[in-house]
Amino acid sequence: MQTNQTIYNFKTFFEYFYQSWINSELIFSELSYVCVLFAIVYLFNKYSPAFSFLVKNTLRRRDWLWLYGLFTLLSVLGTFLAIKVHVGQEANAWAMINIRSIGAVLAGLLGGPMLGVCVGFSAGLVRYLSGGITAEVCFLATTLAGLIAGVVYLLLLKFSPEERFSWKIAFLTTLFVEAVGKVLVYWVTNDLLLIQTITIPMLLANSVGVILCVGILHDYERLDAALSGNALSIAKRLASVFKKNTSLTQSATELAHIIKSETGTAAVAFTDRKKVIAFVGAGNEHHSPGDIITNKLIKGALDSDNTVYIDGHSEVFHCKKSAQCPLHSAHITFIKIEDKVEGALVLFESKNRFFPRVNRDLAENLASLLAEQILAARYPKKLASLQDKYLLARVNPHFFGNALATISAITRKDTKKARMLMGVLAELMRERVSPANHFVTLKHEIEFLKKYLLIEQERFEDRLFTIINFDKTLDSARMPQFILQLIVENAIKHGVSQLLPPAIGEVNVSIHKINDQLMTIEIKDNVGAYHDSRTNRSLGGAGMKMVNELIKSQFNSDLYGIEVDCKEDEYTLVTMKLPIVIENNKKGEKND
Amino acid sequence: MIKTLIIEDELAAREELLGALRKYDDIEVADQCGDLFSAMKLIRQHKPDVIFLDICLPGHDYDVPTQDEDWSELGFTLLDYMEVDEHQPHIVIVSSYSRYTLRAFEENVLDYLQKPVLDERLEKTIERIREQFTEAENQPAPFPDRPLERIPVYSNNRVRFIKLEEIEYIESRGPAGIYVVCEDKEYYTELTLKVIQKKTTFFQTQKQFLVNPDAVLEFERVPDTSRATIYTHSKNKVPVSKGFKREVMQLLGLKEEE
Repeated sequence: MQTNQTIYNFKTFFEYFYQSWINSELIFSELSYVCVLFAIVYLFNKYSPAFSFLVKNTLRRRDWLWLYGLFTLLSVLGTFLAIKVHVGQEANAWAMINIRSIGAVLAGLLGGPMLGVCVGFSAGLVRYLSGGITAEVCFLATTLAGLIAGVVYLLLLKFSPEERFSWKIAFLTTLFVEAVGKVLVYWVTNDLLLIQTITIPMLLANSVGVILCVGILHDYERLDAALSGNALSIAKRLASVFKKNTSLTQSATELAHIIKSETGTAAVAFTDRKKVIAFVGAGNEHHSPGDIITNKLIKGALDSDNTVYIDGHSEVFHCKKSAQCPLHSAHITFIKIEDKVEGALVLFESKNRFFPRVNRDLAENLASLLAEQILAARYPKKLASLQDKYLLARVNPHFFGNALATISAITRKDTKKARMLMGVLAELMRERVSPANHFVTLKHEIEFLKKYLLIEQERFEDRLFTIINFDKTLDSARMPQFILQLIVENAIKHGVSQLLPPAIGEVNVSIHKINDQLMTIEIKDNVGAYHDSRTNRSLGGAGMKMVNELIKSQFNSDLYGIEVDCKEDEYTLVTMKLPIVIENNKKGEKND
Repeated sequence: MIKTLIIEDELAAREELLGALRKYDDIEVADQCGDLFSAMKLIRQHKPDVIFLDICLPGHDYDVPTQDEDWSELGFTLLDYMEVDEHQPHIVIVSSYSRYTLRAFEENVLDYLQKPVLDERLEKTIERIREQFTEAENQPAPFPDRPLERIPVYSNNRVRFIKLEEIEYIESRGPAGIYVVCEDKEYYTELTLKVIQKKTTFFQTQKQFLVNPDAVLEFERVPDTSRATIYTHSKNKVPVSKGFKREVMQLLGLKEEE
């Protein structure tokens, strides 16, 4: 008896499902409303950065609020974009097939339980205010929808984060949410017919909505992966070229080949400041390495250090060499090494093709990658750690602390002097914490040294005596920044500071030419405390070594560097040999 | 009146402290100096109740590797040479850095002031000092008695630390001062014979002489006198007076032939 009853129930149940199913216009109408929501999500995704949290995995407060707004809007719309359906045969028995769950489920699934519950609550509230028998229970159901989806989010986080955008998860979550919702409605209305009528359409519409929307966002993952995959593969191929020790032209040509194949652009060229180094692709019959750069636009760009994009539309790449040249647009990215433009990477496209944005972005990344590689290839030593050490040496917190204490003491008796020194200290700090300039003129470095000495003189009073003399013709000679001051600081720190009064410490700085290519900087103190014969320790030895390495690497030669000669208790002499490099005034270089 | 000394190498910092202490009527700054040796001298001379001591005094202790070689901690060295049993002042450390606080705590200093010294902070220090002098009449600061391993000497305008094993003998030359004699060189020091004798195994052979037992090569009686001479490894001669002869012989394990 029981079984027959069950079978009968199931049969009638199914009949009614079928009935409602063949009211297919209901389904399609509701699905069209789903498309409205889908469009909203699509537009939001396209124009708002709020969804970027899916890639970044950090949700800022502002983004959270935007998402809350969006999902609540969707959910509320889901209530209003509903279709009335008749329940059974009675004329005034009706129900609304709605797609309220979509917003709440998306909120919870993508943003976690907090977002889900907030959205569900808000949308549920709107539903509640709309009245009807099921007002309260739908309020509860929607809130629960957000919560359940949020729980799914947490579960995914713990057990399988990769499934976040899986349509199966989306579907199952919506299914569960809808089931819960229907149970609640039944509990209040006790109307089985109602349930039978609305379940399948609502389930269908809501899950399709959630799946579609999740699908849009799924692309984030794929896109990100695709881009990084591409970049990585290029990087790998490039790295293998750099490892080989071939000539510049050969390496450049190989690189150009790789870039062309990865980007699919018509032609790729490398240039230095004057001529083409490599050329690969369409137009290579008349473009080749060694060609002087004649194209005015490119030449003009090289001289002014700006990135140039000849879009083939407002400006066209005119090839002077051949009328048949297929190249029409060009994107030029400059390769800057140590703030100086050394050359360019040019991507060309032919007449009938667009220049994909992604290739342009890629070009810029490639240029900086290449610059680093060239830099690294030039200086065989581990440049990264060397630069780190250099940067560390630049900022000496002890000096600033001591200087401030000294100035503070002077404030009591001579405020004018104290203010002057504060100004000097401020200048010193600005220099030392500004981005690395690496090379400055000798004149600039000496000015900096003098400022530093002003403050040290105050600390040591008459226990310190300094002399600086240098060859004026070397005013514009380039040298690594801060090195002169560092060595003098060492001489004072480790030498002069050790002298017992009334002895006076003397630091003698002398800069002159040895010949036309070589200059020497000598810093001598009269203390001779650099090396202690008894313990065999050298004070500041590590610093000297670092500076020596730095100089040798920067100029790639053993001719230059630093040497320390110490006669214990008599003198310490630091000799620095540098090449004479005199540059004209250029943008980006510190000159006085 | 609480007598103090300021031991600080930077003139500006010294004057700042001086100015700040001026407003306390019961604090008298008896003297000031800027290096280790002058400090030793002044402490002996003035016997202050409190000294304001800067840790970073001129000089570098090569035997002790410091954190970043920026400055040495010579101020602490001074504490090593405080004469136990003699007058010991309370110590207030004044330093640009806070990194010496732990060591300062271990050394039982009275207070630790960080430069630049603010008036309100100094106020607290003065309170502490006053407390010390009201409780019991000049309680001596508890200084741990440490054995001497090196002697700080003057060498070419710098502080140098001579290891005991390099020293042959120590001679007090009256107003000229105390000299540490090594194999090849001799150096001036501010340390007193008394302290050295107390803290080392050096023995006295005469009022002005202390000898390193490991440096003794020969002991020879001076004929027709009750005196003797000690010869060191580098052929230096150290007189042994009548009063000390017996002890010296005992120490050297020599039998009296009378």
